[in-house]
Amino acid sequence: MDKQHWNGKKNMHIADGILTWQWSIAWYIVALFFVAIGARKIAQTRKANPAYMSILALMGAAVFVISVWHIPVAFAGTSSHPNGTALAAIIIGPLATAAITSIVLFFQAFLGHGGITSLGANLISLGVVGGFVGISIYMLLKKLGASVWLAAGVAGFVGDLSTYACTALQLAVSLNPTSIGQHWEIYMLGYLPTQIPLAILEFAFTAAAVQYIQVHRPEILTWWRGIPAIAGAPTVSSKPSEPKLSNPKRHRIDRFTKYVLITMTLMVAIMLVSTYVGVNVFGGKMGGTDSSVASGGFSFLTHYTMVDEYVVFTIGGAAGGLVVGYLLPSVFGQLSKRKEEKQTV
Amino acid sequence: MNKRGKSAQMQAEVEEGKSSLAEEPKTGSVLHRFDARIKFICAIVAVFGAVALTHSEFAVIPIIVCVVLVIFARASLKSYFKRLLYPLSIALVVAVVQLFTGTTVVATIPYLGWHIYSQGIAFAILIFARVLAAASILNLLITITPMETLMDSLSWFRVPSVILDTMMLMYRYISVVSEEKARIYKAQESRCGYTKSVSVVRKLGNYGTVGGMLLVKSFDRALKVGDAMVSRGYTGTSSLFSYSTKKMAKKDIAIGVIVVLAVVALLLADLGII
Repeated sequence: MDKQHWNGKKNMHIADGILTWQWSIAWYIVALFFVAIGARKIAQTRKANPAYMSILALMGAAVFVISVWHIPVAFAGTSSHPNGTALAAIIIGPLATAAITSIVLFFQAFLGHGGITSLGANLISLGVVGGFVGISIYMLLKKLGASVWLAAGVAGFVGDLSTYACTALQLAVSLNPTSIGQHWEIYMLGYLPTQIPLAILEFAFTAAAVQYIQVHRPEILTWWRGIPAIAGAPTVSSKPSEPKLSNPKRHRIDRFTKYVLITMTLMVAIMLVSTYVGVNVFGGKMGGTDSSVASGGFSFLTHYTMVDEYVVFTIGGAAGGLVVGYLLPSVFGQLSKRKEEKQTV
Repeated sequence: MNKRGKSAQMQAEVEEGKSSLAEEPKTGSVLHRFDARIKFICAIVAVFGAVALTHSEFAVIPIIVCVVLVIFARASLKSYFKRLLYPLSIALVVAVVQLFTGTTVVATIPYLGWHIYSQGIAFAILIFARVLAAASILNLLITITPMETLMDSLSWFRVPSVILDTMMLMYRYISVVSEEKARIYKAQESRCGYTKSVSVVRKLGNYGTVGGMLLVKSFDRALKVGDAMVSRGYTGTSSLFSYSTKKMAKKDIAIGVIVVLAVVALLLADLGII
């Protein structure tokens, strides 16, 4: 096997033999709960609408194919594949994603990706955490008024990072029960070189894929919510909607997205520059902050390393940018409203 | 390697998930004819046995047994070993972390000052051995059992029909969708979607467009297929599974019991009881 081929096989699925058998069973029990709910929901919908099965299977197969597609990550010098669970949750719903992920992981176990005893653990991190976090972020941002591509992109990004954070936690809990917090961070650091580029890839890929669907067939993004679950209800219409040849709004960025992008970029840049200056000019990590946090009972944070500071501040900056981006339009709106009132008076 | 070659290789990698699963066993050895349900039970018991091992030297036994059985089944050793390499990527991350856990220092990394512990080395080797042993067992199972038969055998274990139906349909459509994706990608590539002059951001956008297009096309196809299935009397359940009622041969059961007992004996030996 050549080097490129080997590099292309980076995956975060936990293989058989890594987790202890007690934890393997425990994760199976938790995973079964979600698969059972997902399967029940599929069964109910199938009863009402048998054609649902073909849609679910084909969309599931499409998500599977996308999730094993190795895309070159230029800045990491390797290729990686998107998780696809955030995308799957947006397209087929989070519960169906849990059921479909169990099937996908079963197939992948025989290809050396993941395993049979670790299927439960992998299902929780990929299908449940990745899917539910992804769809929650997507719906939250959509509700806040973000454009579809941004909501999908952030969902992909956060869904990917949450999946690997969960996998790292599963490893720490199983293998290093005496120092879970410390080892959780160490495993996360171990994943960092591959997962950060992968999360960026997931952002771009999910954003572009969902944007394409939004422009050409927006009903795909909502069909799983509109499937009738009552027997006798009309089946999914086979009549495809007219494709929109040109969308005048396609290249326009709404006000919220604009503010979010600007504030996120600014805050992340400020955070990273400050961290760099703090670490390299003034030296060391923020010991004072660490010890004060530790005295409050959060000893987990005392273990964090230099690299963690960059990661924590980047995530903090991005989250701060989102909040500020949400608040700014309303602040400016109020200001302009007062100005108008003054002018009227 | 030129661009076209790289692209072809990438395509091959993309397709690998599908092609490896769809790989039909070429020979009809005794192992191939063995009851799929017993093979599945034996494999699961053996994998759990491998995971529960506490001594790395005992994990070598299933690895050797699997290689011998692959040779006996006249299956491709190349693809067998190729599939064994994949799980090692995560095993490597986990094993490296374990090196720095323990109490007895055996070495210190120069400049960094990090200690490597003897207990950590032993645990890292054990994890590696367990991963290899478990992967070998599953690898052997899929080498001697077609995926369709394996899915069929799951009906005997009372796996819900909704999961099995979705699994069967998905398995069928993975190859269809893969071909569709390869076609769309090729069309986009031929329109200079991935040339050197195209920026990284644009390329990622192009990959995303292929994904979106694939989902749109799959949705359209699914609507047509769904309508066609319903018009032919499909009610949501299929009766494709033959193993749910099929009886097991006594000889196969006896061999299965022997394998399970061998796994139990291995575990007892590992624990020092026998």
